Amino acid sequence: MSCVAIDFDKYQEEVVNHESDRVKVLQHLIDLLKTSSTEKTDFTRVFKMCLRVLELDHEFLAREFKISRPTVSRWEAGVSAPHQLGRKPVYQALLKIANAKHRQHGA
Amino acid sequence: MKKGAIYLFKFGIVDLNESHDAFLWHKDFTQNNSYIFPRTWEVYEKLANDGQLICAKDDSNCFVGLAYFILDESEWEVGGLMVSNSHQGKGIGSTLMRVTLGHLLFEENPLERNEKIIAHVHSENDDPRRIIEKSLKFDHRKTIQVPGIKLPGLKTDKDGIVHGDEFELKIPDTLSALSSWCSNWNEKLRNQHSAKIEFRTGVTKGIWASAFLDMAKRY
Repeated sequence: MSCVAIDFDKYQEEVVNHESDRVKVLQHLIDLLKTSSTEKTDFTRVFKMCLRVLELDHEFLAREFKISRPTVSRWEAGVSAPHQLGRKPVYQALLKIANAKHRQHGA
Repeated sequence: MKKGAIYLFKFGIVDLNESHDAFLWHKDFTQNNSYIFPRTWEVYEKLANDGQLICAKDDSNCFVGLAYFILDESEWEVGGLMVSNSHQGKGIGSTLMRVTLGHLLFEENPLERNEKIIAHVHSENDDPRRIIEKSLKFDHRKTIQVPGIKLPGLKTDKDGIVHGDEFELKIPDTLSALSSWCSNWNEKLRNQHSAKIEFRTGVTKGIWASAFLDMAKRY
């Protein structure tokens, strides 16, 4: 097995930069959740983005939102979306998660 | 029940950890009822793990009723209604079916894509038929005859045929009725025991009522 020499200082800098980028991405997501419309196309885009940025799996969301796992998949794929009146509460619940992650990474 | 105790029934999705308990309850129920198709553990586990089983529970957290919704090709089916014998006559079945249908309509919005919602009932099973026709205002679509060998466990006629009926959600009648129920339901069952629906965060029965009214006008 070959050994790779790691420049610890450089690695530490990369980690700090990554964390800073992560905080920025989370802040953008928070802004997106606060300002997005509840039109179906926007809902699908925002929902998909949240799954990716917040690293949420289907089982977690199904439990958290009290919906079925196939429903999470269909929302993500844009096949379906909740009724328009049910979209804002989804944004609000995701905003809560995003804020918590932002605090965690920003601290 | 102790005098003065608050008797709370809850309606909501079966928790993933309780899929096996739900199956055992279903199995026990279908062993004594030949109008409900007994599902296998694999099928029931999938329904539960996918979050497509809706239950009614008493204040001891025991199941008192179950129903499901499922997408079969391009049609949604609500059904599999079971209410324990000791809790029948309280309005648990009609509440459970309304919650199941309401959840499906609100979270999937299938009418937006012109997807039909249907229900099947054994021809001799009067309790769910009454709920589907009178409470949910579904329309009778057709009668069905299936060889009993394809639906083992269901009651057949002397020729081995299972007789049933297929009902379909009627627009706007079903939606208006459901909206009106959401607006007026006082969170009590027929016997005045309190009950609640476990909605997802930020959703209320008032929001459901507005959504179903909107669907009734829109579709």
